[in-house]
Amino acid sequence: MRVRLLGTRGSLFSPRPGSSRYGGNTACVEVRPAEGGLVVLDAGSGTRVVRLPEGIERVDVLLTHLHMDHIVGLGFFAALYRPDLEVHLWGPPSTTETLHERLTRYLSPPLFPVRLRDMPCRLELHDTPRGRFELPGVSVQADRICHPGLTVGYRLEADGSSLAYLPDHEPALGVPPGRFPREPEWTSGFALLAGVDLAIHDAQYTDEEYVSRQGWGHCTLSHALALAAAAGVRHLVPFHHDPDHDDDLLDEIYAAAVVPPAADGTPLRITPAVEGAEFLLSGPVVPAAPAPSVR
Amino acid sequence: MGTVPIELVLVRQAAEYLTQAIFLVDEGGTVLFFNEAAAALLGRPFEDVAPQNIADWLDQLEICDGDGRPVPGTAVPIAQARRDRRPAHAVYEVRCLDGEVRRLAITSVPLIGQGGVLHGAMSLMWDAGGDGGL
Repeated sequence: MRVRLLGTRGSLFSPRPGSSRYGGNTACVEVRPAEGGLVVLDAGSGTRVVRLPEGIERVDVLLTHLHMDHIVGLGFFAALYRPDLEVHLWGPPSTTETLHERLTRYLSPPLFPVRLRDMPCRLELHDTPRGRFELPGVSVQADRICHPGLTVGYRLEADGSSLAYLPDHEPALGVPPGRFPREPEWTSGFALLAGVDLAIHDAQYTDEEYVSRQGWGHCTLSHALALAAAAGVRHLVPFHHDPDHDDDLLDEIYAAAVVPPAADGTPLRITPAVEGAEFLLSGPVVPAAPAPSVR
Repeated sequence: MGTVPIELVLVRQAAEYLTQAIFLVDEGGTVLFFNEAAAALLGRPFEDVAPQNIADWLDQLEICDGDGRPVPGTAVPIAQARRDRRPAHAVYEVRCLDGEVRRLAITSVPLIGQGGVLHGAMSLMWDAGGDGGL
């Protein structure tokens, strides 16, 4: 399974020179199993540069939720304009509106010139089921996680390796200080993360920032590290960088991070998310740009 | 115990912050949590209670209706809410686990998620004292 980060920024684009190393595009991750189609995780502004392989017939886009930074790239996704392609959009269900109705609020005039229904591809929309479902070449597990509005996290398994994707996640919400993470069954997202080879996880805030941003739906790097260690994650990719955090500040944050010991004694590896970085699971990790060291 | 659905995790987190007595069961009727205020009414802290079915839990209490007749565990509001997927309310005389008899008002609601999935039920309880519990 090959994993490529196309957008690592959270909440809002950050297209300034000072954020060019970590990247300014919002959440999008390209996943290619050895056999099968192409899976795109979220459709932030990074979606514009998803590579469509020769001969591909089907693309699955797994949306965690419909906040703007996770769907803004949909209208610029080349696959939607190809009549030869079958595109499946998966997203969290709603009690009152279909996924099509909710996405059409953005993908229709006056916000966007092309209506979702007029996209040339063969488009199918699905409510993401809770639990396990199969896509070409990939087994997917989905569950609801703690973030404002209904949000799902994903775990993908293919080619003997596993990937968890929880870009917007506040598992520490309401947990008394010093008690995070709680027991696994009471910790949001734990089952999705348990033992994965690679976890792409929210780490938007510093501890100091979180004090005034509880309930905003995100976690700190400390929370992400503690949760990953408790869940036996092998390799953590902190993700969804705050748009106010420039490259220098992110360097400082990651240089100061203290990685807790993993529950099973396996060392937890950390690679902060950098736009363009590529990970080959079941093989060597290949960051596209030099990643800052973390002690 | 498997992973607790996020809907129940959030209810528990809210319950831990509230001073009203809240009691939470999962879709199968297992007692998942009750907060400190509920522990004060029921006479035992949650930490001292092993995971068990609500029917077994209720067997430890003596519950009677307003006429002094025993109330079976299947008839209490939280069992009704879970079974019938609708709110239920009752006022009982309850001999609690600390030996005290309290007049408890109980309002229970089912917890139903997306797709109509029943995740469990929760009860709000309060000491009705001499009033009618409403």
